[in-house]
Amino acid sequence: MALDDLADVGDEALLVAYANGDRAAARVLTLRLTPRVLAQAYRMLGDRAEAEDVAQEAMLRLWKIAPDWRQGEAQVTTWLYRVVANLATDRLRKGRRMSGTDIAELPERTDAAATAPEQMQEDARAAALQAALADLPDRQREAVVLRHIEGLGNPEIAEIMDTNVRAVESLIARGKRALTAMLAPKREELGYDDD
Amino acid sequence: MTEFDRDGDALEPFFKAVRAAEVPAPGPDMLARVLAAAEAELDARAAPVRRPGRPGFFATFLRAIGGWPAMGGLAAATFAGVMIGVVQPASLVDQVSPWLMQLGLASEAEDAFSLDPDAGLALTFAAIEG
Repeated sequence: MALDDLADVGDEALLVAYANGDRAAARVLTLRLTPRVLAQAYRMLGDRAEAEDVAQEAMLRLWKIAPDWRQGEAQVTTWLYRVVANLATDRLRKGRRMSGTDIAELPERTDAAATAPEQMQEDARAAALQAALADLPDRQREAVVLRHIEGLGNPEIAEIMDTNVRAVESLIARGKRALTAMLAPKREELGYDDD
Repeated sequence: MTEFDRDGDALEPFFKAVRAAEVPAPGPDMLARVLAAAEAELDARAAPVRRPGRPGFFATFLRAIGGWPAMGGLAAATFAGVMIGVVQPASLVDQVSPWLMQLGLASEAEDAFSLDPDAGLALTFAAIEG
């Protein structure tokens, strides 16, 4: 089947087609899902090389589970969110704690906006939040990232984290309180008072 | 405590900054690796699985008698039987002939193994009559 014909086909149908040997379906899924998976991994890890490793591992797991995929139980993207979150959490646990990330160590932007003070402030805020997130307990970090960075709803987060909505709300609330406490001392240097 | 500390929404500029931050797009190499992994999985599943065929007659027989050790014993016994038949050890003939002649089952010592066809029957009657 031509790639154009598959563009409107849902993820799950493509995965089933792939499991049945359709290589075109694999190409569409690769192009469609890899950017999302990489973006999520990067937002959780803040490191491109590690994010690429996690994204590739997540996609490999998707290919492996395809023959056993149980239709209608979960969305492919939800399943991938869970896999990426778990893989990223494992990476963070294994010692690469971003809390040590110094704002000054962040890669310099090469585009025209690099010198704009507003952009530098945005970068500094992003780095500060990433560093603070890395110091949260795993479940709180995962819930906060999925809710406020990935923009998912609490029911979907509950499904991803294999828990209920009330537990998700609790995790997010506690996570945000901890983040607030961690970021409060830096509000001036991060330009919070200017907002 | 300031407003920052009390209000969870104060985190929103930070979340917004992370959301707005440039995320890397997968390069052609990465996409190629992901796709190659997908195709490798398909190839691995499509490869014919070599299933063990049904065991043949010899394998079944070998297993039935207890494997190669039993086969070795069987071969040795067969070889011994053939050799005894071919060689006909003289000591055996010498010892058995007088006994057979006494029973009238053989006429001459050198003909001890040329048994009379009725000899078995005669031996049976002799045993019955005591």
